[in-house]
Amino acid sequence: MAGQFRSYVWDPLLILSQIVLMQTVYYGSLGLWLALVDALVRSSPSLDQMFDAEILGFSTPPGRLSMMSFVLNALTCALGLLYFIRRGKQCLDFTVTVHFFHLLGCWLYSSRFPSALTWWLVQAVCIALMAVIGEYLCMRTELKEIPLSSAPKSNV
Amino acid sequence: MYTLLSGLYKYMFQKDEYCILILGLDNAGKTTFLEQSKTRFNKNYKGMSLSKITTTVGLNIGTVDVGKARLMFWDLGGQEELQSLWDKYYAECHGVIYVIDSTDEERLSESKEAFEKVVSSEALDGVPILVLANKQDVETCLSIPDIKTAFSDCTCKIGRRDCLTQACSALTGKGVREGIEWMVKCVVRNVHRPPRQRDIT
Repeated sequence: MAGQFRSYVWDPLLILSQIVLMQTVYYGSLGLWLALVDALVRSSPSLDQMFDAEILGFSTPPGRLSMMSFVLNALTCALGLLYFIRRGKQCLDFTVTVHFFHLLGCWLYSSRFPSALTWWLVQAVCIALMAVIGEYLCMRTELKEIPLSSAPKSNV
Repeated sequence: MYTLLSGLYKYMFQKDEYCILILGLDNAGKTTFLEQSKTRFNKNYKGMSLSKITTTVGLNIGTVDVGKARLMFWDLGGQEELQSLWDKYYAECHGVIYVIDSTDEERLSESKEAFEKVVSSEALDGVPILVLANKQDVETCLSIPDIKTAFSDCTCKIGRRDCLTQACSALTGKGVREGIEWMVKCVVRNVHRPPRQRDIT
């Protein structure tokens, strides 16, 4: 990305790096949230909590814990969007990309396409939360005043 | 991912853009030539009636897709007062089309003088020039050899750039396609004037 004001030139290497980075942030913070939640309720962590679509649900305690972790993860990934994407209009794009790759991951992990309605609802809520909060944070940053000079204003 | 893929699509399918100036005296038929070009090369283009074309003040802009190239025509006004603006466009153009009124024998020397100024400009060095002897549909028009004789003084100034003299009639469309296809070949081949680089966003 060129350093000029409002310059934006299509840069495939940058976009690929951002996709990989967001995926890393997603799974990194999801792992941390799951570890934290599991530590609180003293249950052993498992990859099933991340990738098993059937485990999510309101009926079982592990399902509820996983749901909570996913929702909290959406909040932390919004911060990732703020720091690594920094452009409001690209937040939805990268959010959907991250969750698309997560869908592929769940598919590969279980060898079965996720069909549980709860899983899809949780993903939709997370996408909405992550995109909206990320876009809000990015726009708030983008709308900051641009300092034109470091000298203080003269009182004329 | 959408940004990545849409940028990739644009990167693979965007056409090179070339700017072509259309110069010549007033009433030579430059704007009619532009309208005829747009009608010929753009399938869905419904142009204005050729009989309603009036004097150009300023410039007309037209875009035409020919094969892998996209031509942006800048049709500049040809009146005496407007000719002083021509050189403002030389630095950015990739080709020049000079239109001559074949039926106007009295002003042929005036046209030659204007052409001499165009050809002598340093900013147009190496730029291909297509000379169109327009209004060839009129019975009493000058033929190509006659016009070449009248313009023979300018031959040494053309130098090493591509140049073609083409008989055409902008009204009937005769010679328009051949001229433009020759111009596309020349501007694509010309390495000294690379096409405009439009940034992909």
